[in-house]
Amino acid sequence: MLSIADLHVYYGGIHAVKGISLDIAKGQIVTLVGANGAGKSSTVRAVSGLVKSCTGSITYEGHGNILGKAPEEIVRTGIALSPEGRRILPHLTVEENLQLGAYIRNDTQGIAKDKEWVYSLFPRLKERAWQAGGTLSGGEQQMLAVGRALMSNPDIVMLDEPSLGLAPKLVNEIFAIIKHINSLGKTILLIEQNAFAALSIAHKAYILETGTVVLEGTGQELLHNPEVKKAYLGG
Amino acid sequence: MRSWLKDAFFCCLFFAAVALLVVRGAMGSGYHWQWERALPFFFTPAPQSVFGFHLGPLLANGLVTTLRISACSLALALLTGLVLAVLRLAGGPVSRNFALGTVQTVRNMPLMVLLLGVYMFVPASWNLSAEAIAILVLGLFEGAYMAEIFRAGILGVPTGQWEAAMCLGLSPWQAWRLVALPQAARQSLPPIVSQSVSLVKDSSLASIIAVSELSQQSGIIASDTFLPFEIWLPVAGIYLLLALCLAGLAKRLEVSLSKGHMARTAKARAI
Ligand SMILES: Nc1ncnc2c1ncn2[C@@H]1O[C@H](COP(=O)(O)OP(=O)(O)OP(=O)(O)O)[C@@H](O)[C@H]1O
Ligand SMILES: [Mg+2]
Repeated sequence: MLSIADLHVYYGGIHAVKGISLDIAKGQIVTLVGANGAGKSSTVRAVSGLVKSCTGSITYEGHGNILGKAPEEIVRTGIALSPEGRRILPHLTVEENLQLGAYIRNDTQGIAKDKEWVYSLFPRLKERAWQAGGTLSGGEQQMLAVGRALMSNPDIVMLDEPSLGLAPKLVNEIFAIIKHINSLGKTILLIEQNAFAALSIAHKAYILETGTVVLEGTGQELLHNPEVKKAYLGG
Repeated sequence: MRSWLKDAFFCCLFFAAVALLVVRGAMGSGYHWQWERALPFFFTPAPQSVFGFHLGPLLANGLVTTLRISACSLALALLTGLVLAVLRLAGGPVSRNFALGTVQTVRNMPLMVLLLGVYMFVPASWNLSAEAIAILVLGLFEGAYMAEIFRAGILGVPTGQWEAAMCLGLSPWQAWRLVALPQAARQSLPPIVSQSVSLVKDSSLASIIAVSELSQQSGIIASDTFLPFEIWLPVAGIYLLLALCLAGLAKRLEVSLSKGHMARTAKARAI
């Protein structure tokens, strides 16, 4: 459905992503695992059109090569990003943040339905609907970022470290929610530091090291791979 | 509670000491106060009017002119400031440097020099009144300061906010209007208010190109009547009052800035 081939990302003189190729099949959960600075965020930012200088190709079923398109065009093709570090709009309320998430849509009823759906996924957000985004706790902001990405009714949801800053109980909850969203037919590209949980729910996984893919396989394969166990699963 | 009392006590002590010095100075100078002679310049009794008085020349001419100059040049300054700030941040290399040059030149020149310069060198054929020149110069001068305030406010919006906005499908212009500007406006509001207060006070410099605003009128009347204190003290109070009004207005704007978001996003959706 989405296929990234030989992607390179540069920041000035820094060569952050050095020829990554990924395949994301429709309806799957695909996860990127890797140490800090491996280039995971850079990869999804490139898909979203946020990185200026990158080469390679990103082929999206029905849309051809989307590399080089503007972010606002890419979100319209059905790819949404919940960015690293949340980046919710602090001066807008929870409700308004969700509303803006549906900015590209015109189906008022569909939007209202999806908003209720997001609120049912994250009841905490419903309690806080009229609170300014900037005054939410870190974990609540994270939920809002995920909810906002869902509001554009995307086919592919890219989640950059959605469990960051969440309490352990909520981490389990968010993984359950990711699985649930996937079961509704949405394709998911998941970046996680919590390699065990991510690999457990992933159909397909890629291990990144300093800008290149060093291992790939199904979630279960990598979960039992001795190298992965040693490097990412603490044993 | 005790520390509150102590704080109040020392403040009162300080102000009492200052007041004592001022009163002793005023008595010692042998100045002969004649408030009743100054009053008609502010208010004249008029039993036939609804209010029971008319505005004296100082208020009816001077204050009204000051208000007019301030309001017009404030509008001009805000506009100039915004345009210069946007040019400096988003313009091409030529317009960026043009904006930078304008801001630096204007800010580093005394307002009086600028006023006199424009007043003397603007061609007579343009038929600009002294008041119009004062408004233009004041608008440009304060606008250069406001440009820097706006620029700082816009730069203060984190890049992540722009990116988030673009990822939601907003075009650069909409991201600017719906995400960056509200945040920048809130950042900029307090310094913009203090710059506006400066503008009102700076409008008194228009007196040097013979605009008959509050200060110019006060100067003339004070020297005509030999009543410097009775004229200038209330006039100082009027400037203070104007500044306080501006601050109050800003407070209300701040409240409506935070209330207006829901309406604005709702509207934006409809576009
Ligand atoms: N805007 C930028 N300017 C310069 N270098 C950058 C920029 N963004 C990322 N980098 C560099 O690119 C490399 C990859 O960064 P990236 O954010 O993609 O890593 P990551 O895998 O997401 O790491 P983490 O797990 O810590 O989020 C890092 O070495 C980082 O320092
Ligand atoms: Mg990252």
